[in-house]
Amino acid sequence: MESTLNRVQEVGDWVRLYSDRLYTWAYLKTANRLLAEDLVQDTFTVAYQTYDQFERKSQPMTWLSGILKRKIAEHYRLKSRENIISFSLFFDENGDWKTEQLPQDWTKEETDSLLDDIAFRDMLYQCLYKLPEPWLNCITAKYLEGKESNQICLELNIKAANFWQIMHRAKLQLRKCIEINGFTP
Amino acid sequence: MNTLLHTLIFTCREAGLLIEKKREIQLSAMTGIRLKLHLSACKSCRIYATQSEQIHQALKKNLIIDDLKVIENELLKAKILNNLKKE
Repeated sequence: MESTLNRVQEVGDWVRLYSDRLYTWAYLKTANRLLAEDLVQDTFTVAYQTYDQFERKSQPMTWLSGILKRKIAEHYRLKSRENIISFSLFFDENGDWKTEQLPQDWTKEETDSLLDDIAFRDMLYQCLYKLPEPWLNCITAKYLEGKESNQICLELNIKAANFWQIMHRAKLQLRKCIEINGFTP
Repeated sequence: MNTLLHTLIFTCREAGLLIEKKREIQLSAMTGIRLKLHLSACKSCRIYATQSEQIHQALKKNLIIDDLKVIENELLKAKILNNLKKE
C-alpha cells in the first residue's frame, strides 16, 4: 500500500515537472494536438506500470522521454505502411516540373532572411507543422535529433528509397510554403 | 526535356531526389556525372538545388532542442493526474 502511494506520488511529481516538455516534444513530432496528448498520457501510464524497472541511473526526464520516443516510433511504424507519396502536385507524368511550380529565384533579401531573421524561424515552424505527420517525423528525426538516415529507416521500419522520397517531398512542400509566406509571417 | 534526355540525365523529379540524397550519401560516379549534366541543362533544378541547400541550412540552424519553446498544457496535466489518482 505504501509503495503504491509512493508510486502515485512520484509519478504525479513527474507529471507536474515534465509533462509540458514531453508534450512539446510530442507535438513537434506529430503536429497533432490530440495525438500528442494521447502519446504523453500513454507515456505516464507506461511509467506508472513499469515504475519498478526505473533504475534511477538516469534522470526521470531521460527515462520518460525514452518511453515517449518509443511510443511515437510505434505510432509511425503502424502508420508508414499506408504511406504512399505523390509528387503529382509538383511534377507532370514525364517527371518535368509543372509550369506553375517551376522554382523561381529568391531575391538576396529573401535568402538573407532565411538564416538571420527571427521571424523566419516562426514561419519555418508553421510550415513544418503543416507537413503530414510521417514527413514531419522524418524531418525532425534528421534535423532535431541529428539522426542518420539509416537509423531513421530502422526505427520507422521504412525502406531507404521511401525515406528519400519523403525527404524530397517534404522539402518541396517546405520550399513552397516558405515562398508563399513571403519569408516573413 | 525530351524522353531521350530524361533517360540519359534523369527527369527533374529524379534529379530532385538525388539532390537530397547527395547531401548524405556518396552517389556513384556515373550518377554524379548524370546529375551534373542535368543541372547544367536545367535552370529550374539548379534553382531548386540552391534553395534546397538553403532550407537544409535553415533547418539545421533553427531546429535546436534546447531552444524549443515549451508549450504549457495544464489541461493535459490535470487529466493525467486525475487518471493517476484512480490507480
